[in-house]
Amino acid sequence: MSHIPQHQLIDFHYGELNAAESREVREHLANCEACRADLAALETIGKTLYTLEDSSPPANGFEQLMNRIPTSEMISAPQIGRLQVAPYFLLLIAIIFSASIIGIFHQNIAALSYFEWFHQFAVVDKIGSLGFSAILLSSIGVLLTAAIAPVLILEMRQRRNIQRL
Amino acid sequence: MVNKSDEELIVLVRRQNTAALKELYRRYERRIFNFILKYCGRRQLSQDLLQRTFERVWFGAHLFAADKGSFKGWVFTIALNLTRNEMSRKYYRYHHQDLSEVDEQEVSFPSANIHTPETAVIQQERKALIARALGLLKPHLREIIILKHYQQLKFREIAEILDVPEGTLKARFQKAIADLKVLLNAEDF
Repeated sequence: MSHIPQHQLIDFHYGELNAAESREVREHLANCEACRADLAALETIGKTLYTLEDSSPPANGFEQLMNRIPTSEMISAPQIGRLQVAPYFLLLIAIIFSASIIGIFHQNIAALSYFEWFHQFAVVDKIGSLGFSAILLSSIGVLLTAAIAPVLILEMRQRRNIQRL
Repeated sequence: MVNKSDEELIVLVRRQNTAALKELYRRYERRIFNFILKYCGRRQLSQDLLQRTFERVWFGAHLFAADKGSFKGWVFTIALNLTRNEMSRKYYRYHHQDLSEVDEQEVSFPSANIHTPETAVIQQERKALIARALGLLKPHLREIIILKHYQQLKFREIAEILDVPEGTLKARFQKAIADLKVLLNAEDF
C-alpha cells in the first residue's frame, strides 16, 4: 500500500485539500498506521508551535505612524507617472530643438559679433559654423544641467526610494 | 470604512485618505507586528518595522496592482522585505537568530493559562525553547513557518509573497518541519 505523500498530508492538516481529496486521505488514514503517525507528528509540532502566542502591538501605533507621515508630501500616482516620463520626453524635445536651431541658424550663430573673439583660434575655422554652433549649444546645455543638478539629484533619490517599496 | 474591502481601501489611500489607512492599519497591525516579532524576536524593532511597513503602504499605494495579487500579500511582502533587509545588517545574527537570548519583555507571552508559579515557569521554559528553535531555523525556512503556521496563510498566498513556486514552497515547508522536529526534540513536548 502506498503512503500519502508528505506534502499532501501537510495540505490535509492545514485544510487545503478539496472535499474529494480530504475524503481520500481520511479513508487512507483509517487503514494506515504509518500515515496516522506522520499526521500525529505534524499535529504535535503544530500544537507545540502554538504555545508561542501572539503579542499585542503598541497601543498608539497609528498615532505614531501619522507623526511619521507628512501628508502634504504624499506622492500621488499621476505625479509619479509624469516624473517617470518627463525627463525622457524633455530630453527628446531638447535634442530636436537644438538640432533644428543648429541646422537652420548655424551660420548666423557663428557670425554673431559676441563670438568674434573665438575666431582668432584656428580650431574654430576647422570645425566650421556647424561644429561651432553645436559646441556652443552643448556648453549652454551642460551649464544649465549643472545649475539644476541639485534638483535632479533630489528627484533621482526620491524615485529610488519609491522603487524600493 | 469597515465594510470596504482591502482593495477598495487602498484606492482611497492613494487619494491620501487617512481614515482608509487607519482601517487597513487596524486590520493588519496585529498580524504584521507578530509576523515581524516572531521573525526577529525584538519587540522594539518589530514596532519600528510595523510603522515603516505602513509608511510604505501610504507612500507606495499607487504601486499596488490589484490584478497582480491581494493587498494582504502585498503588505506582507513589504513587511518581509523590510525585516529581511534589517536582519541582514551585520549587527544582527541573521542566519541564526536566537530568540531565547532576547529579553523576556521583548517577546512577551500572554499568561492566561498560567495558574501557579511552577506552571508559569514551565510554560515560560517551553516558550523559550520554541522561540529558540524557531530562531535557529534558517531564515528562508523560518519565514515559511511563521507565514503558514502563525499567520494561517494558504500556500498559494505564501508563494505569492515569497515569489517562489508552490512546489518549492511545500518542499521548504517539509524541510522546516523536519528541522523543527530535530530542534524541538519533539518527544519532550
